[in-house]
Amino acid sequence: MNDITSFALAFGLTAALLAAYMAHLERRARRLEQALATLQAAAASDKNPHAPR
Amino acid sequence: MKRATEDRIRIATLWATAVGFVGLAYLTWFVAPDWSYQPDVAAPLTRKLLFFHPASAWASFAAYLVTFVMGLAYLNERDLKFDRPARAAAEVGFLLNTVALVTGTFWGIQEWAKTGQASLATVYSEPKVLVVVVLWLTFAAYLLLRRMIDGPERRARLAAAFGCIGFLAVPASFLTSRLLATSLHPDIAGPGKNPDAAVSTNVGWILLWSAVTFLALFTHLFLQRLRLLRLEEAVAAAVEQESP
Repeated sequence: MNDITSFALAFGLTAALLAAYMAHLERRARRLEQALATLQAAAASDKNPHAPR
Repeated sequence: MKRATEDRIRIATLWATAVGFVGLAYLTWFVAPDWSYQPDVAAPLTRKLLFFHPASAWASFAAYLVTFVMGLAYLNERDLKFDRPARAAAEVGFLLNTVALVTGTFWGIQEWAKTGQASLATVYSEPKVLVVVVLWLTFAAYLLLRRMIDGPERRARLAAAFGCIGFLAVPASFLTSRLLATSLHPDIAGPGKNPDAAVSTNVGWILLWSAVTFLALFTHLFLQRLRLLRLEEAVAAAVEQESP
C-alpha cells in the first residue's frame, strides 16, 4: 500500500465512522422525542377525554 | 448539572468540534512541516495522521476514565444515576479507541515497514498496540455484556466491575512503551517520552489543537449519548404508564 492510499483510507474511514455515529445519534434522538411527545399527548387525552386534540 | 446547562454545553461543544476540525485541516495541510523533503521519513503524507491518532487515543482514555470513576461511584453508592454516564462514556470511548486503532494501523504499516517483517504483523505484535487492542476488546465485551444481562442493578454492578478492571489497560498502555525496550511505539508526550520522537514547538501547538478538538468531540458525543439514554428511559416509562 502506498503513502497516499494509506492516508486516504485512514482519513476516510475515520471521517465516515464519526459522521455515521453522529448522524445515528441525532436521528435516534429525534425519533425518541417524537415518540415521547405522542405518548405524552395520548396520556393527557386519556386523563381528559373532552380536551381538544 | 441542570438539563438546560447540559444542552448548552452539548451544542457549544458541537460548534467547537466543527471549528476545531476545520482548523485542524488547515493546520495539517498549511502549517505542519512538509516531511516529503526528509529522506528518513518513509511515508510523509501518512505521518500527518500524527494530528489525529494520538488525540483520538487520549480522548478515548479520558472516556474510559469517566467509565472507571462512575463505575467506582456505582460500586460505592449503588445508585443507578452513576450507571448512565458510565455506559455513555464507554460507548464513546470505544468509538474513539476504534479511530485511534484505525489511524495507528495505517500509520504503523507505513512507518514500521522497514523492519523487514510483514507490515500488519509488525504493527499487531508491537507491545503497546497489543495492550490497546486488549483495551478495545475489553470495552467491546463491556458493551456486549450490558446488552446480555437483565435487571438494571445486576447489569450496573457487573458492568461497573468490568469497566473498572478494563480501565487498567490504560495505564498499562502508557507504561508498556516506556518500560519495554522492544517497543517500536514512540512516546511524544508525558513523562518518559522518547527524546528522538520529540516534536517541534510548531507541531506541539497543532497537537494541542487536535487534543482540544477531540476532547470537544468526546464531550459532545458523551452528552448526546446521555440525552439519548434519558429519552429511552422516559419513553419506556411512558409506554409502561400507557399499557393497562
